[in-house]
Amino acid sequence: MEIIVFIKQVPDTADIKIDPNTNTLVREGVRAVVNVFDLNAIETALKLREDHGGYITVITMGPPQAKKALQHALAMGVDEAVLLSSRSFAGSDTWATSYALSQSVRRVGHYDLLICGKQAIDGDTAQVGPGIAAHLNIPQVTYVRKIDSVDDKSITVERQTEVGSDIIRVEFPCLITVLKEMNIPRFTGLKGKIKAKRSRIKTLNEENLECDLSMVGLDGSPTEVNKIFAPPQHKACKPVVATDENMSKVVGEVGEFLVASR
Amino acid sequence: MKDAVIANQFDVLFVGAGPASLSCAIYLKKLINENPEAKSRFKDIKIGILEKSSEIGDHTLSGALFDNDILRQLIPDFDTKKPLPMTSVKKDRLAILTKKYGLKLPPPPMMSNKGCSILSVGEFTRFLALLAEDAGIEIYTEEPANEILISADNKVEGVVTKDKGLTKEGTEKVSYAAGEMVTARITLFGEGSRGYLTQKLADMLSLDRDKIPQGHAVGLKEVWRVKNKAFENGLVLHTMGYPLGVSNFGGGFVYNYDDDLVSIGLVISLDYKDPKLSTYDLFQRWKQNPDVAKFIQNGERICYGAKCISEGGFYAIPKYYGDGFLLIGESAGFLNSFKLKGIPMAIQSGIFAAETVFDALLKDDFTEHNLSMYKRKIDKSWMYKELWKARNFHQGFHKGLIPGFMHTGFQFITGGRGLKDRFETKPDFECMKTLSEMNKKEKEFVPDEKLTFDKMTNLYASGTQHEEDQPCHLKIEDPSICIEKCLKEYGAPCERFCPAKVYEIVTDDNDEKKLQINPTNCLHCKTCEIKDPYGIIKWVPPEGGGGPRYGKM
Repeated sequence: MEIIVFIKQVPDTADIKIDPNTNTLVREGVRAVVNVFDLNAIETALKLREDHGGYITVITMGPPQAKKALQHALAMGVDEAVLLSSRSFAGSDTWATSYALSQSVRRVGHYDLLICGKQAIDGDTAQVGPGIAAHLNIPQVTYVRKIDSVDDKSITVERQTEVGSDIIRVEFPCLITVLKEMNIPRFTGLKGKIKAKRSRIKTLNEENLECDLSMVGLDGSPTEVNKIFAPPQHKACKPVVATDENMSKVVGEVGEFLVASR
Repeated sequence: MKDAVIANQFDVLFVGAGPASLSCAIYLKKLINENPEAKSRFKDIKIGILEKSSEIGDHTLSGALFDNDILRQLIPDFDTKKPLPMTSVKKDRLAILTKKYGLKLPPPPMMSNKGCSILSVGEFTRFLALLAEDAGIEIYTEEPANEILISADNKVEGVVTKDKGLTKEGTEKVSYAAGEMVTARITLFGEGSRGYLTQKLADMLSLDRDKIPQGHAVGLKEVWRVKNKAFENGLVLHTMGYPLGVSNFGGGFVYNYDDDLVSIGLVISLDYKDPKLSTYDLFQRWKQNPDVAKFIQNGERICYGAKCISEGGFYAIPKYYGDGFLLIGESAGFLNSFKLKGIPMAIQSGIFAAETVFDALLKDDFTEHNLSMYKRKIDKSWMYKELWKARNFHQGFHKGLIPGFMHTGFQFITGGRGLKDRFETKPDFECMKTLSEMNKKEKEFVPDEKLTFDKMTNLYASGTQHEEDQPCHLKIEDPSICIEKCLKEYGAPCERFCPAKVYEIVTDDNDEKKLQINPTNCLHCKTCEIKDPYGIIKWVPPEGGGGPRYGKM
C-alpha cells in the first residue's frame, strides 16, 4: 500500500498565550509539537503497513522548523518525509494549503491512501483534508474512528456520526481523516530518533514543485480573517437555584441578566 | 527491557545537555575541525547528547553570573559577534539583613563580580545547543539515561535509556517503547548536581572512596518582569542574615538585567538542623525584607523553580575519570563553593575533557591511564587553585555563622587551610535534629499574593508537568517509616524541605494519617533525596519529557 500522511506542526496547547494587544496567538518562543490528531494519522499508516506492507510518505507544509515534526514522524517509523517550505507559501489559508499539498501528492506519484488528522488544533477548521481530496478529485471519508478491512482495491472504515457510525467502503485512491479514537500513537525510541536525525528530508518549494503561484500564499487565499479575539472573561459566577416556588422569579432574573450582558 | 542494542551508533556520548556537555561537545568538534588530519579521519564522527527534558534549557536553573573570560575561550569571537543579550555587572552590593532592615556594604574583594555578566543559564544553554547542532552534534531530548552499561572489568560502554509508556502499576501501555542500550567509545556524565547515573557509577566503582560526603544547598528562584524605581540594569545584590539566622548557611541574590528582568533567589545549605525549617517559606519571607521587596514592586512573577547545588568542595570531589568515562561539570563536584559559581567550571572542565577526548580519539585509547590527562589538566589550572583555596570554606560553617566567619578568616590568611584541614563532615541528611531536640515555634507564613505566593500557585509558574499514568519516580525504601517513625520524630519534614509540594501528610477516610506523594509536581531538584533524615528516598528520572519547563531561568 502506498500511503501519504499529511501533518502539521502546531503550538503546544500547554503553552497557549494570547497577546493582549493584538488578540492573536503568541507564537514566538512557544514550543511546537506535531498536531495531536496527526499522530493518530501516522499511527494509522504504521499499523496498515504492519498488516499489509507498503510505503509511507509524510508531507508537511510549514516554515523550516517544521522539519522537527517530520523527524518525529520518521522516528515513529515512516519511510520518507517531505517538507513544503517557501516564502511564497506563507500566509496560505486552508484552500491554498490544500492546493499546495495536492500538488506535492502529484509529485510523489502513485498513491492508494491519503490520511490526515481530523483537524489542526490551532486553526480548528478541519478543511485541509477535504480540500486535498477536492483538488485531487478523489473520494474522502472524514471522522474515521476505525478501519474494518482493507483489500487490493478498497478500504472499509467506520465514520463517526452524532448517533453512531456509518460503515463505508471506498475505493483507492481515496482520502480519510482520523479521530483520536483510531489508536494510541506509539512513543518514539532513541533508535528511531537517531535514524530520523540522520535521514535526509526532501524540501519542495515553488522551484521544484509544479504549482500555480497565484493559488498559494496570501494571493491564493480567499479567506479573510476579520477578527480573532479571546472571549471576554466573566468576573463572577452567580449560582441560581430554581425551585417550584421561585421559578418565575428566577426566570425573570436570568432574563434580565441575558439582556444586560448583550 | 528488550535486547535492542544500538551498538556503535556513537563515538562520544554525553548524558545531560547542560553547559558542561554542550561546551565539551562544541570544543571537541572545534579541535577536530582545526586539525586537518583529524578532520579527515573523523569526518563522520558521531557525537550524541541524551537529555531527559523536553527542550534544552527546561531543567537548567542558576542566578547566573557569567565569567566573560571563559566564554571567550569557548567562543573566540564572542565579544564581536555578541550572540547573546548579556548585561554587564555595573554595581555590586552586599547586604546583611534583619527582618525589616538591611546593612549595605561593598562586597569584599574576593567576592567581587566585576567583569561578570548577568545571563539566564537557560538562554545560554539554548544558545550553545544551536551552536552544537550546527556543528553536527546530535541532541536527543526526552531521553533520560536510566542505567549504565559496564563490562565485567569495569569499563563503561554506554547507557540504557528509560522505558516509555508504563502505567502507574508498571504494566505496558499500547504505546510502550522499551528503553534502549546505546554504546559509545567514551561516555561523559554531565548531569549536574546529584546526577542520577553519576551516583550509580560512583557506587559501582567506589569513586568517592576516601572523600568526604558531598554537601548540597538548594536554590529557590523566581524571575520577575518589573517597572519600578529600584531597578538598575546591571545591579547585583547578595544578601546574608535574615531569614537564615546565625545557624543556617546560605544567602540571597537579586540580579537586575535585560532592562526589566529581576532574577531573585535564596540559597539554603542543606546541612541545616531545624526539622521545622521550610525552604519555600524562608524564600518567600526573605522577599518581604524591604531591601529585597523594593526590586519586585509592581512586578509580574514569570517563573519559579528550584535546584540543588553541590557545594562540598575539593574534598568531596569523586574520582572523575576511568575506563571509558569522564565526569564533567557539577557532576564531578566542580563548583566554587565560596562564590557558589558552577558554570565557569562546567565550561572549563568541558574544554579540558574535550582536549582529553580528542587525544584519546587520535590514539584510539580510552583507558583510565590515557584519560588521566584530564586530571592533570585540571590540576594545573585555575579550577584547582580555586577549589583548593575554598576546600574547607563550607564545612567551616557547620557550627553556625559566627564560627564560620572565624574559620573563613583563618582560611583566607592561610590559603584555604584554616584551623582544620581537612574538615570532616556528616552527610546532609544526618544533620537534622529531632523535634525533641529542636522544636521552634514558627508562625504560619501567609502569602500576600502580590510579592509572595503559596507553593501551589508558584509551582504553576515552573511549568512542571509529567505524564500522570506512570510509575512513581520517587522510591521510598520503607514507607512504614514515614508515619510510624518520621512523623513523630521529625514531624514529616518532607512537607517542608520539598519546594514543590510533592509530599503531603493526609488523613484518609479511616481518620488515619498517610503519606501522599504527588510526583507530577516534582521539580527534579533532588532536595528530598539529600535531606530526608532516614535516607530512604531515592529519586529516579521519570518518563522522558517530564519535569519543569523553565524559560528564562
